[in-house]
Formats: sequence, C-alpha cells, structure tokens
Amino acid sequence: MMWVIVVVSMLAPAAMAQQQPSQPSQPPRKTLKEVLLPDTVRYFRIILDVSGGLSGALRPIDQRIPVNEIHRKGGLDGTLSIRATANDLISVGVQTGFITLSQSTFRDSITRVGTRVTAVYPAMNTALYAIPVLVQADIQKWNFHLSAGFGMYYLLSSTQLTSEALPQYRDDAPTINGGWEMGYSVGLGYLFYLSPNLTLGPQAEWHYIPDEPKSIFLAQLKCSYTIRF
Amino acid sequence: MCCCAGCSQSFSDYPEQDDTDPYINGKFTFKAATAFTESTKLLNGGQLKPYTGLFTIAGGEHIWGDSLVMYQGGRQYISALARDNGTFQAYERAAEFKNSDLITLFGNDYGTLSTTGTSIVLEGFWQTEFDVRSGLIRLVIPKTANLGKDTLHGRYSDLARDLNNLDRPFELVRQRAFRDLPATKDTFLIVANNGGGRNVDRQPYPENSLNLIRFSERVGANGVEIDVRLTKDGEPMLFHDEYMTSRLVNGEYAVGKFSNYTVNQLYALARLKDNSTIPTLRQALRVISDSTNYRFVWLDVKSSDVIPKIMAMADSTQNRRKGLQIFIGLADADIANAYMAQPADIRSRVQGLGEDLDIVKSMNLPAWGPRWTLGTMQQEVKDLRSQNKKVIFWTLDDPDFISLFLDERRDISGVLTNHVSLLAYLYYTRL
Repeated sequence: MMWVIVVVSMLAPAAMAQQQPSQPSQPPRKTLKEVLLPDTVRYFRIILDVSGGLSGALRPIDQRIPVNEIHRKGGLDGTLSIRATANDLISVGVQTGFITLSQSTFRDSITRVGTRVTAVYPAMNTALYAIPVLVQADIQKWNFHLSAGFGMYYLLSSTQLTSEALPQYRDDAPTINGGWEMGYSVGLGYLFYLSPNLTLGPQAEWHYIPDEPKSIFLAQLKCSYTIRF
Repeated sequence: MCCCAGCSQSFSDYPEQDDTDPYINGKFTFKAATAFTESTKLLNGGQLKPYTGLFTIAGGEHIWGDSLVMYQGGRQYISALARDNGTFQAYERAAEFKNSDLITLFGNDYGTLSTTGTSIVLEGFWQTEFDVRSGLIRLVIPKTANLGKDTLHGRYSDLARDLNNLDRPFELVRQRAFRDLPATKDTFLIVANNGGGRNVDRQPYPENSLNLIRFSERVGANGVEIDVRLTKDGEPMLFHDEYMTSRLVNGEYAVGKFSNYTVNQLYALARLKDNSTIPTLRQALRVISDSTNYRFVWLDVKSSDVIPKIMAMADSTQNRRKGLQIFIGLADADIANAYMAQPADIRSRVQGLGEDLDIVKSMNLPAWGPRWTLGTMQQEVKDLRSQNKKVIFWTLDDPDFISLFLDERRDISGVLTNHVSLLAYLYYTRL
C-alpha cells in the first residue's frame, strides 16, 4: 500500500501540471499528494513519543531466602523519546524514561544453631529502577514499527531496612544508590492514526543490561505526535 | 552474641553466615564409599608432615603433570600442588585405618596392602584452576612404606563424569623430602592476592572472603593480600571494586558505589558469590590471627580515608600472634601521605609497603611492592635488599614468568599471585 502511495505521489505533480496550468494571479495550489497524503510527504519531521505501562521481569530475581520475602518483579514504567526523520521509513532519536525493574519486601529471618546465630536476614523494603538514556532507531512500515536502542542505564536502588526484631537494622528513610550500566533494547508496536500527526497504539519493549545482568519486558501504550517542518 | 529485640550489636559481632552456597561447599562432600565415619579420629597437620616432599607421578591417568609437591599448610591440612593446569589436591581429612578393613572396602584398588598393618588414608578434592576440572581424591599411604622407594596408590573422580566414582588411578613415588626450613624473618613470602585469587581465577571460594583466606594457606600461601574499603558509616570491609557489581556480589538491589552503603545495608542487601557475607576487616584479621599461621598481611587500602580507621586494628591484631606482620599498602601519594600523618609510634609497629619506589625511598618505608611488568629490577632490588627492606613483586600468575623471577631474583622477599598453589609448587620444587 505504501509503495502505491509513493508511486502515485511521484507521478501526480507531472499529471497535474499538464491538466492544470499555473495561474500567477492565484495562490499556489496544493499538490495532490499534499491534499491526500500529508503524512507521507518527505518533509523533515520531529516525532515525540510518550509511552507508559507495566514492566515485568523475565528473569529470576536474585533471592535471599525465598520463603521470607514478597516479590513483585516489575511495576510501572514510562518512557519518552524524541526522533527525527526525513523519510517515511527510518527515524533516529533518543529515549529516556523510568522503568521499575523489581521491588521486594523482606521479612525478618534469623537462623540459629542452638543459641548461636548463624545467619541474619533483616526485614527491608527495596526497589530497583532503571533510567534509560538510549540512542534509538525506529523503522516504520505499514502501521507496524520496530525499534532498537543502545546506550546507558542509570540503575537506581531504594533500600529501607525495616526490621522489627533487630533495631540496628532499621532506617529512618530509604537510601538511594545508583550507577551507570550499558544496555540495549528492542521493541515492536502497532500504530492507529487518530489524525495525520497523532498516533496511538500498543507496543512491547525488552530492555537488557548485560553486565548485571538484568532484563525487563515493557507492555506499553504509546502516543506519538509528529511536528513537520 | 545476641540478636534478640532491643540489643545493640557491634560490627565485629556479625555472624559470618554459615548457610553458604551448598553447591560450593557440598560439591566436595564425600558420598563415595569411604572408611571414614563420624567417630574416626583424624590426624592433624603435624602428624602428616613426614609425608610432605616432592613426589613423582609414576603412573595412572591424570592431567596434573609429572610431579607433585605434597605440602602441609595450615594447622590441620595437607595438600598436593602441581604445575599443569594450576592443579591442587586439597586433602580435607586423614586418619589411620587397618589394612584389613581397607582391603574389605576397596579390594586391591590401592595396591597390594599387607593384611596385618595399617595405612593412612587421605581424602579430599582436587581442582584445576585453568580449565576448571575437579573431583574427589583419595590417597593411601601404608605405614610401612619406604617413601623414597615404594609406590603410593591413589584414585580420583572427575566431576564431569561421575563425582562419586573414584575410577581413575594414580601412583606416586617420593623423590625427596624438603629441607626443613626454619620460619624466619626472611622466609620467602607466597602472598595470596585478594585472599587467594580473583573470582575469575575460579578458586573454591570468592575473592576477599574469609573462606578463601582460610583455604589459601592450605595450598601454599604464607601471606595474604586483602582489599579494604570504607562503608558509608566508616567500617573497613573487604571489597575490591569501587562499585557493587555482579562480578563480586549477589544482590538484586546492590548497585552503585560500595561507599554509599552502610555496613548494615551491605549485610542486608549483598552476599559474596558463595552466599557468604562481605567480611569486615575486623573479622578477617581475627581469622588471620586466630585460625591461620600467616606471617604476612598486605592491606591494600583503596582510599586515604581508610588509613586512620585501620592502624589500631592492625596493631592489635599483630599483638594477638607472634610472627604476624601487617603492612599497609600505599598505592599512591594520597594514601602514603595519610599513612605518614599517623603517629610515628604506631607507624613503627604497623609498617607501610609502598608501590612506588620514590615513595619507598622518600618515606623510608621498609617494604616495596613493584609491579612485575617493570621487569626483574635487578639493581633496585639489590639496593633495597641490602638495606634489609622487603621486596614483593605483584601480581605474577604465569608459570613461565614466575619461574623467571624465582630463578633470576633469588633475593626477592616474595611474590603476590592469584594462583597460590602454582607459585608454591614452583617455589618448593626449587628448594
């Protein structure tokens, strides 16, 4: 379908020039492709994407003592990207956002052999988030789009010790720690055109940070707005 | 130790975490047929010392090379060290049994034993560090054996095939005993880097762990180097990297700088690769002074703010055991200046080891730790040794380069290595 549109749009100006000679006294008339297919014109465009949804881990979370913890492997996520393109197929830009990698609540656990304490696992609330800063390329064909990103992730952990049994393992407030790691992502989505410049559709993304290693799957609703120049 | 509600617990009281990874610690549990029972009276290291020396591997199938150094390390263990593939055989228990019982149990698997006498049986595990093979091992030494002539028989299993089937025979003949070297101030130092090797070196325990510090002595180390960093609340702990990484720790939520965490948070969030806790320096020094015979400790401090926190700790540890010397590693000028800012009397007891020759000379430090890639540094080593200063090269892991340094620089004080058993083998075969 896309190729048909492109061919039609290439042939249209010549055909129109023959059928409708220009008249200097009137304002310039729009070409056929501008009238019919504004979103396929090869203008430079900036595309803004806002996505949000749920994240879920596809990996076992590093567990301390499975019997004594409550895991939620993922949570909410939201990403923003800005892309530039001068054609109908490929756009390149940057992506950032906020992804919940995992959240855990641990309860107190103290192991004793006789009266000797051999292991202590204090209660705590913890969460791990990732802030991606990725260079992203997006290929759109028909209404599908495929994306790939590469760059850095700022891993952010929040920890608050909450032990009831062991007062020394109790924090007044969560402690935030973080560090940068390299990683990459791939995504696939489908677009519904709400208007020539506005699309909405589902997308799935998979983010992977190999050195940790941590991976996360995002199921999102993505809204894109196109600004033409 | 108290862990009930309402108590206060100091850092040094943290339990060492006994519930470590059963794969690592259970891998070498003897499930094969054995003469040992819970009531078997075990021999100690001193009783096994007569069986040390250089042995030729006279027969059998094996991948360990053509000779073994039988070494008595630690207070209760004996180990065999080989060159090929970075092999060690760590015998975990030894006891004397009646030959008749052994024949009943094993038939002629261990040579033709006299039906009337007794034999010493050693059991443990073997491992190659370079290609990561391992298994169980058993060696039988008849009490009547003439070690210089008689062949000793052993068998081993290979984890890749069947851990509990000791189906591979090997035979040993002792070439010679070692000269009985007195432990002196100038004893050659075989220093275990990061407690005995980096995680990538596939030691049985993780780097900078209490278990590895204990183990390295068994396979030849008489000195240990450990890395020291401060937590957010100022506790010196054993940790090499600036950041928490999956290379060193398990812990989903342990990310970012090590120094951003309090010791309590580290205890709650992160475990070493065998599930043991990250040790405090206090715990490590207690293990070194009370549970080992290490003569030399190199504290590789990672930042200058560590120095004021560890001087008194190192000093009191030295006082716990005679012959133990703790050196503060001074890797750069900042750390060296922080060390020199300490009172002179404590510096006279807890001495500095400089990595830069200019620092060693300008601060008149008693020890120098040059990087081995600088070469054998013949003149510099000669000058410092003539002033009775220690020179310990770091970090030598390749057997050819270790041999080069041992052969060309017989006057050096020691070598730091990630492959303790290999260095010990190469050193003891030259005695």
